[in-house]
Amino acid sequence: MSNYILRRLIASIPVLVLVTFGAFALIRIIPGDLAALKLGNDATPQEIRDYRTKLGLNDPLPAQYIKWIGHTLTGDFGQSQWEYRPVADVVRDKFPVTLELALLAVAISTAFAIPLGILSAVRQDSLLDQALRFTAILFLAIPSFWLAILLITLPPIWFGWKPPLTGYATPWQDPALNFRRMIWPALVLGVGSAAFVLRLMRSSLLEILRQDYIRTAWSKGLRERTVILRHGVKVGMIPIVTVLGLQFSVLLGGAVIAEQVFGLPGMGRSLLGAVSRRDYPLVQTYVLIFALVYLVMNLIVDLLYGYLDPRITYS
Amino acid sequence: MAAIDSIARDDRALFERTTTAYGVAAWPLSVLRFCRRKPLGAFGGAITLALIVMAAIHPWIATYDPNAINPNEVLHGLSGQHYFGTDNYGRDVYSRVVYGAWASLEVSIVSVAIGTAIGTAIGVLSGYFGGAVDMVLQRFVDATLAFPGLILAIALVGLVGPSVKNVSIAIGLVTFPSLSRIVRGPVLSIKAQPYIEAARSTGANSLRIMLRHVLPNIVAIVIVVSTARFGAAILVESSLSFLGLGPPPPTATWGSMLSGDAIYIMQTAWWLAFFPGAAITLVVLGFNLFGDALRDVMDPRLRGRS
Repeated sequence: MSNYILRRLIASIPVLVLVTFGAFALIRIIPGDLAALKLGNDATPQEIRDYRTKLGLNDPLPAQYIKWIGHTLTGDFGQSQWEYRPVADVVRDKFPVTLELALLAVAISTAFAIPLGILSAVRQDSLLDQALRFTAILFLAIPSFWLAILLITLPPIWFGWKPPLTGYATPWQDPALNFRRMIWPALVLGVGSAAFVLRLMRSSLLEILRQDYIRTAWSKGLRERTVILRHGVKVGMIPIVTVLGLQFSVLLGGAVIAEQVFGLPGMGRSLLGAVSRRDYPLVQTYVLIFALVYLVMNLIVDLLYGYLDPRITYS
Repeated sequence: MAAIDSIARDDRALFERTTTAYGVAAWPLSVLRFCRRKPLGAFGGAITLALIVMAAIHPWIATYDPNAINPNEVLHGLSGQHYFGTDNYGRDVYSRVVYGAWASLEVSIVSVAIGTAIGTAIGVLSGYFGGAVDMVLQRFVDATLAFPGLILAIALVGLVGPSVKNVSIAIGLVTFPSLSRIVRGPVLSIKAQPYIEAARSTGANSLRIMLRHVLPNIVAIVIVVSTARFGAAILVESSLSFLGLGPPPPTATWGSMLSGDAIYIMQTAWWLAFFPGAAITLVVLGFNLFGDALRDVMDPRLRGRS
C-alpha cells in the first residue's frame, strides 16, 4: 500500500513539471506586461526596462524558470506585485475561503444527491423517479452564474430580502456572518454538482441491483434495508467517490464565478485579478496549488476504491 | 437482463437499417421510432433543431439591430414592440438573444470540432503506439487536466485576442484531454484484433492502419461523446463571456448579456436576467437530452460515462 502511494507520487512528478512549464510560459506569452501595467501609461520605455530588470524579467527565460522552481522548492513563493506582500501570505488568506466554499458545496451536493439518487434507483420509473431525473437534467443545464444572479435579483422582488453581498469573517471570528455569506454561493455550486451526482448514483445503483449477488442477498431473506444499503450502495458508491473527488477540483475552479458574483475574498476571484494584472508569481503559485489539489484528490480517490471494493488490490 | 439486451439491440438496429428491402430510404421511419422510444430525447432534438434554425435565419427574425442604442427606450418592460423588453442602453433584448443564438452555436460547433479532432488524434496515437509515445502523450494529457481550465482559457484568449473564433479554439483546447482518455481504451482493444495483424501483414503502414482500420471503429464512440459536449461547450462559453472574457462587446452573447454591472440593473429589470439565462438553460437542456438519448440508442455501454 505505502509502496503504491510512493509510486503514484513519483509518477506525478513529471506531470507537475509539465504544469510548471505551462504556468510559467502561459502567463509570459499573454500580451501585456507586468511592468507596463504597473507603471501606467506615462512610463518611458527606459523606466519599464529598469523595472523589468529589478523584477528579474529581463533574465533569459530558462534562468527565470530555474530561479522560480528553486525558490518554490525552498518554500519561497515570491512577492505578489499588486498586493505588496509575500505570495504565501496572500494564499494563506484566500485559500481557506475557497476551501470552505468547496467543502460546503460538496457537503450540500452529497446530502441531496446520494439519498435522492438511491430513492430514484429503488423506485425506478415511478413518478418520483421521473420527477427527480427531470429536475437533475434541468439543473445540469442551468449555468451556475445565472442561478446566482436569480438568487440575487428575484428574492428582493418577491420577499424584499436578498443574500448578503458584502463583508466577510472567518468561521473563527464570526461563525454566523461566515455562514450567512457562504451558504448561498455554496448552494449555487452544490446544486449543480448534486444534479450530476444524483444521475450517477441512480445509474450506478441500478446496474448493481441487477447483479447475481444482490439476488442471493434477497433470497437469503435479508431485509430490504440491508440488501440495498449494505450490498448495493456500498459498491455503488465507487463511481460516486471518483466524481466527488474530481468535483472537488472542479468546484475549486468553479468558485471563480461564485466568488465573483457573491463578492467573496477567495482564491478564484484573486486568481482572476492576478491573471488580468499579470501578477506572475501569484498566478504561478495558484496554478501549482490547483494542480496539486487535483493530483492529490486523484490519489485519494484511487485509495478509497480499495476500501469500497475489496476486490481491488494495489500492486 | 435479456430484455434490456434486446431493447439495446433493437435500438441499434434502428440506426443500422438505413434502407428498406426495396431500397427506399428508411430514415424518416427511424426518426419516428426514435421519437416514440425516446420522447425526451426527441424533445431535446427539437430544441436543438430550433436553435440551429434560429441561428441560421437570425438576421431575419430579429426585430431590431441588436446593437442599436436608443436613449428614448431605456429599460422598457415587455411589450408588442420589444418582446423581451429593452436593456439599459435601450437595445432590444429579444434581438440580442436571437443574435446570441448564432454566437453560441458557432462557438459550440467550432470548439467541439477542435476538441474532438485533437482528442481523437491523441487517443488513437496513444493507444496505437503504446510504450513511450503513450507515456509521453498521457503525461501531457494529465498535465492539461491538472491545469485549471479557466486559466488555460483566459491565457489562450489573451494570447490570440478575444473573438468568437478564438474563444472557440480556447474551449476546444481545454476540453480535448477527457476525450483522448475515452478514445484510448477502445483503441487498445482494437489494436489486438486479428484484422489489424492482417492489415499489417499485407504491408499497410501505421498511418494507413490508424486511418483506415482503427478510426472507423471508434467513430460511434467519438460521435456519442462529442454530441454530449455541445451543451458543456455552450456553458463554458457563456461562463467566459459572463466573466468578461468572451467575444468583445458589443457582440451579443448570452453570457455577456448577464455580465458586468448588469447585475445591479437586473434587480429592477428582471427581464434582463431572465431571457438570456433561460436561453442558455433551454439550449443546453436540449443538447443534453438529445445527446443522452443518442448515446443510449447508439452505444448503451457508454451510459453514465461522459
